[in-house]
Amino acid sequence: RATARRAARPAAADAAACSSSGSGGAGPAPREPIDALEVFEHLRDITDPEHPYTLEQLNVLEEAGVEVDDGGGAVRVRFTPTVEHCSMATLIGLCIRVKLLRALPQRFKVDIELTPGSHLSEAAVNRQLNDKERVAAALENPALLAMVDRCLATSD
Amino acid sequence: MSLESFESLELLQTLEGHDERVWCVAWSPDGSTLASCSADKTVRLWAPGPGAPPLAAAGAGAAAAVAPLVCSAVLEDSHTKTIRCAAWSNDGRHLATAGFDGLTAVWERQGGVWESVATLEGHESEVKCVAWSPNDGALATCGRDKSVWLWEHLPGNDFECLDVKPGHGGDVKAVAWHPGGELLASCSYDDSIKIWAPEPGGGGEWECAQTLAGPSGHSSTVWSVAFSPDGRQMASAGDDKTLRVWECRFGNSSDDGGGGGGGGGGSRRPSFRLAAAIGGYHSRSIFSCSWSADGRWLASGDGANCIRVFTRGDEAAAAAAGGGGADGGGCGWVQACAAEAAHESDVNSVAWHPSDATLLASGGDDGRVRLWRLRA
Repeated sequence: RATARRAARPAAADAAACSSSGSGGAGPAPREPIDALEVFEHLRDITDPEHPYTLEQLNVLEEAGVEVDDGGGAVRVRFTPTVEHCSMATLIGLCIRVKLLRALPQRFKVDIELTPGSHLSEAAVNRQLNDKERVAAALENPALLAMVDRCLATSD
Repeated sequence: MSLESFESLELLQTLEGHDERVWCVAWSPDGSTLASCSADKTVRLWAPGPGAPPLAAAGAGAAAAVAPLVCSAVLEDSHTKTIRCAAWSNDGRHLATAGFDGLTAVWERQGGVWESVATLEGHESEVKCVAWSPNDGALATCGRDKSVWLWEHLPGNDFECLDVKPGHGGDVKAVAWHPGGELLASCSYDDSIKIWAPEPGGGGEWECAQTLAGPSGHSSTVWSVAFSPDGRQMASAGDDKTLRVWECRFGNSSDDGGGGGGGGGGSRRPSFRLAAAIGGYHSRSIFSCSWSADGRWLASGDGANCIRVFTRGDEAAAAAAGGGGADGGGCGWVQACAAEAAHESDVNSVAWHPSDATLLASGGDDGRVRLWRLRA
């Protein structure tokens, strides 16, 4: 049963993905697998909340920090704050999550983490970033959403 | 050959209407109506259309055909943000909702119409769950402010705060009343479950009687708690991808004058013990769990779009299924069946029908509500 899932799930999910991002024809086009570079492309130009630079320019994000399992529908992003007591770590993570929510097909499950050892409150930040209820509530906070949108404006 | 093939979950209906993720589904106590609430700030009520036989008419336990449910009402304008939870009063006349706007709203059925009759303010931030006490005399709410609130339901739909209980170290995700009514369970982002009971001396204050944490508890956020209908067991579901089943025992407190299980007055001190840890099945966070009306089936919904149904096998069955992944080894619980890709995204809520023990509802991030029949 456990193995049947891997084989069965993508077929249905992919049909849905194709219908929205297909090549404009009537029939579903074969789906291009999504890879780490493509995910990184979505994220590299996000502006850091505190600096006029992008996450890539600050080395907060690099392509090697992105793992994609296209068949399994999973994405893992690791990022490295510029300092280990960075108070903006949660906001940066939230920006990454929102960007991927908007950019990736719904079939992808996204996990966002700090690079191990990169932050003093690593476990707490990771926990918060991966609590969907906390994320949903944060995005209903207009001030917070405005901050996220400002950081994402450069990445569209 | 595994035991699992004896049962299956069959999709009966998909109910569309919500514009955003569905957080919670809840059956009315008479089983006639399903409520769902959503990030779209509405509650939708679903019932068989005009002329169709009512849902509960077939009688308790009957696995009868289910007439197509249609949206019979939309309750809106009571919250300005996500509605996280909806709960029916046990007499079916009221519906309470918990919102990310910090409010708890109460609706009342007046004639054929639902009216908003009360708004409970108190929580500092998101309210995540609301639950009626078994006699409808009180409401419990909980939220991100790490507290559990108890409200007395007074005549005229007046609600008065009875008690505010701090104690959890993080968001309180859910509350559930024991069917006996003298016990409330809460679960939290702090990885623990707390059991609340009236103080032995009387006086109306509630206290934390037990905290379920540590080695026998969950190792991450606990999203959901649910009592079995007979009140002897409690299930919990968590971010650690496990379900846990707790045995609920009541011992007489020292000031109680003996007497066996007669249950005549006096405070009975609860004592919960881990009976089973069901792991190795869910591959992502488990957000919800529910017991069927006959106590036989435990359903759970997760962040991998999956609904699973577990049952308590006999010893031989448990041994045969031992290789199947229950890391509680010999805990006696086996998976009866599963619906992979039950929704197109996370399954946030599962709820068994209150009398038809094989009818299950679910709600998910795909904005859909689904009805399932367990075929055994």
